Amino acid sequence: MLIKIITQNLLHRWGATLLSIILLCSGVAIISLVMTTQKQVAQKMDNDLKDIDLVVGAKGSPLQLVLSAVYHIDAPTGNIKMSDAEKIMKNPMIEQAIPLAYGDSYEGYRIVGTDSNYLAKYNAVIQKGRLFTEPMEVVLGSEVATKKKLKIGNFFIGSHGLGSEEAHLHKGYNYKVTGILEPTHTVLDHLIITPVASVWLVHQSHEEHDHHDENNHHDHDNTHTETEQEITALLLKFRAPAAQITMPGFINQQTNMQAASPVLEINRLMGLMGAGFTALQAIAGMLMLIAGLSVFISLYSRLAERKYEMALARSMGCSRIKLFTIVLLEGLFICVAGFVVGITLSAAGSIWLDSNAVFANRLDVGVSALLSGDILLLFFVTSGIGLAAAMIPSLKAYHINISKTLAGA
Amino acid sequence: MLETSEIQFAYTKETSFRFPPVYCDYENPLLITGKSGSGKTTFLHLLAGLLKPGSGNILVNGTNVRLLSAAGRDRFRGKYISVIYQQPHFMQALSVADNIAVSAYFSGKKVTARAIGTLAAKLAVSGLLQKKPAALSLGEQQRVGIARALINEPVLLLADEPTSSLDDDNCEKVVGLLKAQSSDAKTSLVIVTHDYRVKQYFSNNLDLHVD
Repeated sequence: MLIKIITQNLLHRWGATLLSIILLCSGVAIISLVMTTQKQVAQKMDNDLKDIDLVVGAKGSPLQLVLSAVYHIDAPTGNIKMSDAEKIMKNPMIEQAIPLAYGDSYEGYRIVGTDSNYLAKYNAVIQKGRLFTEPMEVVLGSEVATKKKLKIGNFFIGSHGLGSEEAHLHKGYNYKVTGILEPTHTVLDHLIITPVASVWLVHQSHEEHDHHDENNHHDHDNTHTETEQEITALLLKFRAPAAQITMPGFINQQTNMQAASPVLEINRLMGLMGAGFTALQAIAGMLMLIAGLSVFISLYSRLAERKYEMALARSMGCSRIKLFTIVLLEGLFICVAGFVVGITLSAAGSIWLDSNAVFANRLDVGVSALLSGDILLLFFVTSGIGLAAAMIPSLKAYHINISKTLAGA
Repeated sequence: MLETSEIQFAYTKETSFRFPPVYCDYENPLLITGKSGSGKTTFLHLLAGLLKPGSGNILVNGTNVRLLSAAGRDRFRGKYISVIYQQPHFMQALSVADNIAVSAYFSGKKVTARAIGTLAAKLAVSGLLQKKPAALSLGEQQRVGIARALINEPVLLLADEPTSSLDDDNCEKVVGLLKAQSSDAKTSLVIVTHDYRVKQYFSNNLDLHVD
């Protein structure tokens, strides 16, 4: 009966109840979406970073270099000569150097030329087929295989550029699928991995092809020797932390390449994004406070018109504490409803981001993230707002003078 | 059964009341009349335990209500005393049936839908059970108020001006209904009113005067 009294009271003045719930759920939805997205972005960034100490690439924006080489969400700054890269790779301070050559894609998924160390860095396991052994053989990230319905033995043609358009197909150069990776929940899931030689073959042959076309002459035999080989970036892992201090300076000042620390760049990026997230959370917090005020006004203004029924309830034996509890729970119910609707909206937002937004697609913003401790904290904050908003009306109900109220009727 | 000794109560030093002893049981319903300011409603609130007398005793089925704590009076009132008001206030959000049931809920008693249905039939409000109180006429509200008061099978039924806003026909009907229902339920009935039309239906009555 207690629940019935509370719910019927709230439904009886549904307009005020609905307004409070809308305000609250908006605040909850924004805060929880921002919290989960922020957390997932940071976690995903961290996952993809692995133990990459330094990224080396063409001069340009260091953040762009990191975003393109580590997260594959930006265009590369350019290419670097393989001979220059090899000098860095042979440096005794370097424990591991992984070359990356990219610039092509297949229906929006990047084709990355590299070696097996790149797969090992992300603990990738071949789910089906085998690792590539020859140029033009590829292994697919799990999402690429699923979304593009590619199977072992299938062939496809890459296109120039990193977009999904197929304006510049590298016709005549078919990639063959030899393996499919198990999901790693890293950037690898979204990539097509092939030996660096594949990228060189396609591009150098392409350049030669263009050149020979002009002379009506076709000869692919000498394609690798006539132009200097290039890669896009180099992922470095140092032997000792001291290299973190000396290597970037050396590369940036002594070579025509650029060195960027992923940790520094990502911290900078997160700092910039953090300001936006904080602003959004502040707005959502204000919404929740306004909602709390709305709950207070709704309950308090109703006290005057409900005073007779409250006095009546007391005269029927309802204790002060029970009357106090009824009004308090009315405030709490509004807030719990606002919280549930808000979290549902937030989950829907996460799903939408997960399936529609390109950026989020690479970040795997999932509903599972909603089950975090932060959301529990948000629940307590929301409930706290409801209880605080209902406290004064509840105390007023607690102290109602039955005789005076009923005699004044 | 209700029995009081001389009760005194003061709102302020200037506004105080002294009430003569009264006695009533289900076979001898009591009518308390008096003009405005004579303390009728104050007396009713004292009998109901809504106010605590400064002195004197109020025995309801042998329990001295004056000696109970505030919370104890709430519990006692819920279990043994029901009050019918001139304006039968309702919980507007609840249906008529729920308004009747809520009385039992607040008093800590359990009531079945069947019991509500039976009582509603006696008071001719069966067809109103699913309506909201705002949809009822004054006479219907009065009958539902009586049903709500009787659902707990109280020992003492107090009615405050139950006929004041009714015409002669309805006045007679309501008084007859209250007397019949309280007699059936073996409930002591006390009516407090300034409506002297009611006096003819009671042999046990008390007329309060302003001192």
